[in-house]
Amino acid sequence: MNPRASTHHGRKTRDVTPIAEWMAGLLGAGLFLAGLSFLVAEGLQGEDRPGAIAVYVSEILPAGDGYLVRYKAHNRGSRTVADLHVSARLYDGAEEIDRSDAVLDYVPGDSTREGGFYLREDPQRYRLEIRPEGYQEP
Amino acid sequence: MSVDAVRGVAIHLPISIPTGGADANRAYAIGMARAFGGALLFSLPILMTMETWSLGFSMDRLRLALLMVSLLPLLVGLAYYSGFEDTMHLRDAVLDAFAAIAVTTVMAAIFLLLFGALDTDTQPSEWVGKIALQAVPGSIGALVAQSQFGSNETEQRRRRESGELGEYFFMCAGALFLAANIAPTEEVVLIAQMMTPWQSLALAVLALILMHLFVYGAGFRGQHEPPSDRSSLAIFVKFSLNGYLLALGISAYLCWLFGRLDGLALAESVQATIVLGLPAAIGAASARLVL
Repeated sequence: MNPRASTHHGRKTRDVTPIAEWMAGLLGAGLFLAGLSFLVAEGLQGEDRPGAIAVYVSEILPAGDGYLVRYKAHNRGSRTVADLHVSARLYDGAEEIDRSDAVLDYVPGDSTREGGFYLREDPQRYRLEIRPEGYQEP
Repeated sequence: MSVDAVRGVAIHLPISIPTGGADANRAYAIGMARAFGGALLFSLPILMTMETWSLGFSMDRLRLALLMVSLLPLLVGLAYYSGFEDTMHLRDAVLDAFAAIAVTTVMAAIFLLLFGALDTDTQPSEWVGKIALQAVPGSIGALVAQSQFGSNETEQRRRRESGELGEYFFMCAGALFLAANIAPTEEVVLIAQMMTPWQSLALAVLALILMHLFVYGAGFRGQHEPPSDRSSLAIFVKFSLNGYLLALGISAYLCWLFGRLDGLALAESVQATIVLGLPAAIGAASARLVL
């Protein structure tokens, strides 16, 4: 590990590479190579799927005078979507009785981001429809 | 490194080098703590900028890999000229460069976790991207911590030894460091779009003049005496003009790496390059003050 340590007795300390230096250097080299190979492997996989967002309800809670519909937006694509607009609509039969919109700054590829809609009417009593509206490429 | 190797050294080190093995390790640990401080100091601006977080996952993976690769020779060179421990050999410089990366990785992971920019649900790709982006200023900071905060007899010797090539090397390092702090922000393209071509031209000329003043005129610590055997014009062309072209090259490279030139027309690309060229030029000119 430190071959010069035994051969360079009595010389100035600085001429011997301390074991801590080897450890930190090798740790850094390991991290660097791991990060680099990860990025190159990901880049070369050629996996380039456009953003594909699925929005689903995670829970519904009473909030103030109305209700909070917490949602998760999952991106099944590999590309990041930015400024993702999502909407929640409540229908009584064919009639839209309530609507709420939200924006997520970013949803990276294969990742999930969360948010919430505020609605005045009880979503459990009517038909709730939540969906992605649109986004821009970052 | 294996556990056995560590244990073996822990047992044998005091016997094989009775003078100073433990001291050397302790001194190195102090150097590492200093490096941590340097990494934090230099990367705080982009650590707390949200564009760098989003670039961490949205940036082209191969360009990010290229950024990491281009960083390595820079770090080795910096470690050789002014590292966080008194570097004697190229091997030590390489170890120092990697150690700076290790320190920066740990530092960036800690703070990004504390900020909530990373968490256990985060995809590996996002982890790697966000941390890798901090590596540029962070690891440069870790390496120069010695020359800024520590004793520096060796480093001054190195400075004298570095010739013309070393000059350009330091300019590159300074330009890359300061421009990499600004390149991830959206303001680069925004400013370029607000400017008329005449304003861009004026900015380029001003950056060039400022660069010359930083190196030769303003009396900063570490500035140069103009070589007496050359005319002012020759000095201007040789160092300031070349330096500015170098800064512009680095600016264009970083703009492209961060995807700021994607889809831009040539004229707009040139303007964005000139805008980022300002911090690149100032970074290059002040490299001797900072690095």
